[in-house]
Amino acid sequence: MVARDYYILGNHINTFLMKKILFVVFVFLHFAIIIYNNVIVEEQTLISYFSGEKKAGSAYKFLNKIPFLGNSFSAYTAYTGTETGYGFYAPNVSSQTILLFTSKDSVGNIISVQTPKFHSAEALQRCFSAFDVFLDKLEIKNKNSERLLNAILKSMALWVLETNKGCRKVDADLLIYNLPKTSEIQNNKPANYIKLSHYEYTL
Amino acid sequence: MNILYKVRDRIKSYFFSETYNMFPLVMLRVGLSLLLLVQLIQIKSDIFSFIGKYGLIRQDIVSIRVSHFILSSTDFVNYICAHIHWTEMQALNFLGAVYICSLIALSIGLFTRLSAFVAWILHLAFVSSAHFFTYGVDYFLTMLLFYTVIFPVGKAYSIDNLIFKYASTNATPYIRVLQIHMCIVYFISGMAKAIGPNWWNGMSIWKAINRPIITSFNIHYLANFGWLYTLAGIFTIIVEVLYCVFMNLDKTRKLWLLLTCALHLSIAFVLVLPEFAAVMILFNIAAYYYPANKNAQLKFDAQAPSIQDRVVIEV
Repeated sequence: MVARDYYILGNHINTFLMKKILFVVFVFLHFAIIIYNNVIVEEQTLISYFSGEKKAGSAYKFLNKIPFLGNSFSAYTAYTGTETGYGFYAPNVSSQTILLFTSKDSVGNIISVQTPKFHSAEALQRCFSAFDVFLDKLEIKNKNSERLLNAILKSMALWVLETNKGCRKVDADLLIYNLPKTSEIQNNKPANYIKLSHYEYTL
Repeated sequence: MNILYKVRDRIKSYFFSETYNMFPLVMLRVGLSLLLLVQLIQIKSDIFSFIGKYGLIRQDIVSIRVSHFILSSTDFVNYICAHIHWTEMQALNFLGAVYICSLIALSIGLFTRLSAFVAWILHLAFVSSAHFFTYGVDYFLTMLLFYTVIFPVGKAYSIDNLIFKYASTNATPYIRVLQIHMCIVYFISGMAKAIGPNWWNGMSIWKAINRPIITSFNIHYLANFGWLYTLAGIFTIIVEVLYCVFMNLDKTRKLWLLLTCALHLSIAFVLVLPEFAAVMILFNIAAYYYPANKNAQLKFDAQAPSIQDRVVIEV
């Protein structure tokens, strides 16, 4: 490879040095984006943690004020896998929601009561991750989000109808796991599931 | 101006001195492709439930939340079905086969950059089609695949190297990127945990080990160890917040790497997240396990005329 010569601000720079400069610029921009993305995510998490409201913080609003920047930022973080915040299980481990499906035949006899069945623990873990979207049901008071969550619930019920032979009716119960503190458990307070909502779907 | 020159020289020496050999990058390439293959094998029986048109969450619902600038597997499937007249299952099987081939090629270093690129795009496509079913591990895998595309991971211990006989490459800049990324990850993770009271009083650990997905343990027995959860919570915060300090000191690096790996192993077994733990351990090993060459000098690329670099330093 032949080194080409460039002159930048009167300095003589060859291809190899140019590559190094570009690399360092890329590294700074890359990590600046990652850090800013984390500021956005953590700000949202903290607002939700302290005020109970799920709304965008000032970092997110600032980003979207500048035309094209918000979209470019989202595209870059999506493609590079950096769109997540790194505060895993922080500041606290959120309560877990569960969907319990009761499948019934045409007469109303119960065929099964279950969460969706999968072939591996990894797949089940992913299913439980999907259940987390229903936590939004507690936090978001927005009609469109409510409609989306109901559509997801309906889709899951349809899937259960399809995968259970002879099933004609599915009842879906959205539950939240209520775990007492260790001291409360020692005093025989039971861990239980609190029912948030109940839905019925018929074929 | 002297300070600026000093900063420039520090940056130059940090990124471009020949401190590391290529082995960590090879480790990253092989480990990552094998992990992705294992992940695929684990969920292969359920893959249609996640990304099928009529899966657990139907694709028309999923697509509402997929960014318009990302090609999801549904987009690929629709394109294939429209042009080749295959069924959805045939198209998805085809995409799966291409994905597997690209991962195998990546692991042995055959057409490395191309295979990394194909694996990255298809991984993104699958993840975006199944984004309701994703968790932290998928973002880390996407990020590492992105790094394998832009880093010269195929320039050593690869079939490409046997064929093309590459000149030796300085791996230090790329290892430095991994190291900085890891420090950011752990620092943010630790600080976010330290903000609330729940990691200090053990409540978060208690909740994490009693998630409904893993409640097969006797909860009354586990409740006797409240002090242990408090200690584990504080240990986690300390390891994560101080990671960027102790991993970068020669004397403490091994100890901190051991503690970090122990943290991830406990995540694997207690929280039943083996895949996440494996990815993080791989990332840690690639970034920090291999010893740095302490006598490394700032060397210029063999092909680059060194006099031209010197001209810039003297300006």
